[in-house]
Amino acid sequence: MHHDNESFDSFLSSSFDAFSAASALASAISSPTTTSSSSSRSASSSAKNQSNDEQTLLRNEIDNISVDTIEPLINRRKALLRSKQFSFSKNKKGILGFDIIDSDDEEENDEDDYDDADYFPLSTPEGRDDYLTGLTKTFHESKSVHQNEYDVGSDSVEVRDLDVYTMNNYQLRELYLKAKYADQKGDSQLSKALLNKLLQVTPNDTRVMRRLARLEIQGKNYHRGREILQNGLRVLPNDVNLLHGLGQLERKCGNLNKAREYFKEAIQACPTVPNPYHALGTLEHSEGNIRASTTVLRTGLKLCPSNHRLHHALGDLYRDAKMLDMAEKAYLRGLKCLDVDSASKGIQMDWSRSFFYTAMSYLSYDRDDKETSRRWLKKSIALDHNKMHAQGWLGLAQLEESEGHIDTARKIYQQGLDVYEKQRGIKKFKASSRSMLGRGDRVKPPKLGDRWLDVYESLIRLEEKHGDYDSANNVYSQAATAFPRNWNILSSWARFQIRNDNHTRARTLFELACRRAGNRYVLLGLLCDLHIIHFACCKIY
Amino acid sequence: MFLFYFWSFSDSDPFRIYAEFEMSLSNYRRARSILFQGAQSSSESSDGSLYNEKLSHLYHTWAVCEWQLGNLDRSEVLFDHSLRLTDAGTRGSDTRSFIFLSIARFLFHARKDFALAQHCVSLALTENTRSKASWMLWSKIANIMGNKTLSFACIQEADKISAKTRVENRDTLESVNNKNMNHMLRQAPWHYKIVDVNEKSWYDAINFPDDDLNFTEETRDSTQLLQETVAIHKK
Repeated sequence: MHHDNESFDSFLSSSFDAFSAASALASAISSPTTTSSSSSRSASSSAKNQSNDEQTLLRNEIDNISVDTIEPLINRRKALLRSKQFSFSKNKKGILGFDIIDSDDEEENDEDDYDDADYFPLSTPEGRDDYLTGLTKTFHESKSVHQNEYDVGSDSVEVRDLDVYTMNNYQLRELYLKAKYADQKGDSQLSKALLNKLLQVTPNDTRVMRRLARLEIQGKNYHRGREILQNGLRVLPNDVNLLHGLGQLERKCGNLNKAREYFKEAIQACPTVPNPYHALGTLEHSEGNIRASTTVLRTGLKLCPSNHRLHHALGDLYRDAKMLDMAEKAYLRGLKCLDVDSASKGIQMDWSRSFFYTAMSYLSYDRDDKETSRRWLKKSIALDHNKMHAQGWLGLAQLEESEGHIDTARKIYQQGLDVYEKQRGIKKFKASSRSMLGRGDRVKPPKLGDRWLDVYESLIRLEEKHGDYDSANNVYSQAATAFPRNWNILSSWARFQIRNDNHTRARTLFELACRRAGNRYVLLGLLCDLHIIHFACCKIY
Repeated sequence: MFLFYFWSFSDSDPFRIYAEFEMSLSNYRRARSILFQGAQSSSESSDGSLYNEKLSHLYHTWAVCEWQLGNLDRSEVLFDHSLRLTDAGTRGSDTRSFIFLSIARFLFHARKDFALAQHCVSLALTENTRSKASWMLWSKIANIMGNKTLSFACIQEADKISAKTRVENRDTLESVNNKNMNHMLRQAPWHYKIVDVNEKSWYDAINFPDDDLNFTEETRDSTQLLQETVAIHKK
């Protein structure tokens, strides 16, 4: 552990050569796009063309119906034209010739689950014979790919051996879906590997770029994420999804002005896409710029009146401004849009519905109607397709805690965590178990957008305040098992041990946290980490 | 799994917190080793070389650790590294203010270079005028340099900040700034009832060598210092 003075000094003298080189590099990396100046102006001028909200809503509904009816016919016509070696699609093409659809929306907190069915429309530059040969081959060979759709274990070695250049469109589509499922199931390494492979053959595919960039950002590799998105922007300078992705990245990095610029550019590039309005509106709201936020969200709603997320964001804004009636109206309008959306798509959108119910419970609490608030929260966690709404469980428990019902709150937390842990395959254990932390790598990884860490943290806070050492220690160990890669929990746990004068335990936990946070040890790989964890647990207990 | 596991990226915060814990137990050599590993680990990552607030905090803690160990030259270099890693805009203002304050404390107590210490404390105040500790230090420096009027004025400023802080603690809108706006908006309505919103600063946990000299605002009451200075001023 000890180092001599020479090694410190040599490190200090050498490290800042790297800093200067990196600074030069940073100046070289600049946005390929120009800064927008009049995005909101153009958006508002377009808004004037709309007669009123209701008419637009109605028109959108009609559009949805007609698209649903006509789409199969269009697909049939496409297939016929394809057989004549002719593609009439006006969309941009990737290098393999399939269309690039610009409707991706894959934020980390995304509430919508978009259908990927139209991801690779079957337009191809190949001849009819080639196409038929490829198709025949696909139906013979793709079975195994399809069968393993949900079996996205750690087969990264196989990924390395994949020859994506010989794949046809269908196989590439399957590969993308595999990457998507891996991402949703929390296997970000496999998803990244597959997406990197896909990016080699489809370098202009914005979906691949967005998802890969988001995974890189999730792994705190911001430079790589930025590189992917900016490379994409060089080819597709006005792509709304890439601009939106860059905005999200800059927001995460704390560069709020840059984030604003990117969101505005995205709005300017395509004023009818709701996501940049939502992102910019919530950014301004978080920063306390209420007026700017209202303007953005209202403009967004004029152009996309059926978007439930914009209604929800506007409702939140009104609620924070204590304009409770207007907030209620906004939430109810959002719920109505959600019903229409749900009916037109034929899918239950319980994920989004839970958020509305939680918002309604906040509203009732603000009106001092705690019973109704409680009812809304219970409703949010009782939906058929979303019993895992972390915010709902958290809200219900915190509501009880705020009312001084500590035992009830504790019970709700544990109930929620039982459901969650059962789903993740985390078995019950006592904190004194030696192999406690080792189990973390055997449980299913958290899914995309998992917010259950907040529930654990809130329970830890409750136990530290109202419980004893053992109860808090147990929750810390539960959280560390559920989120084995998170060093923050270990660091907090160590500080908890310091507060309780357990310095040896604190040291062990700090060392674990450092190993997980630093890349110095990662060369040793997973196996080594497991051994260290096991050794550490033996030391703790 | 091995191949991809290799490309994960590091965070320097746990190293810093661990080192601060060791420093609180006066294990400065152990703390230095931890900080060295943390700096190496973060500098090697792709995020380590640009504006990196966390790494800046780590270098700052390391500088204080070297100061504790009596390696004053190295401490100075580390303070410099720490400053370089802060963001050049207003975002890095808070961190820079703390680092300048530490440098001023270092120059005042370890180097006895009062003129330069005064320069640094004024730089700290340029970044954040509401730092009571900076005004107190400036008062002390001015006092030692024989500028009693300036010393008196600085203590008055420090007192004003204390009074303001007392008022702000009564939930007035004055306490709302951009930093805590995020904690106020888009929260559940019961958030304030159960969560302590007053976060402790990263600067508070560091064990400074001049803490023993009754420097910090907790141990040294500005009113007491004001009385002393007024007495000296009258003489």
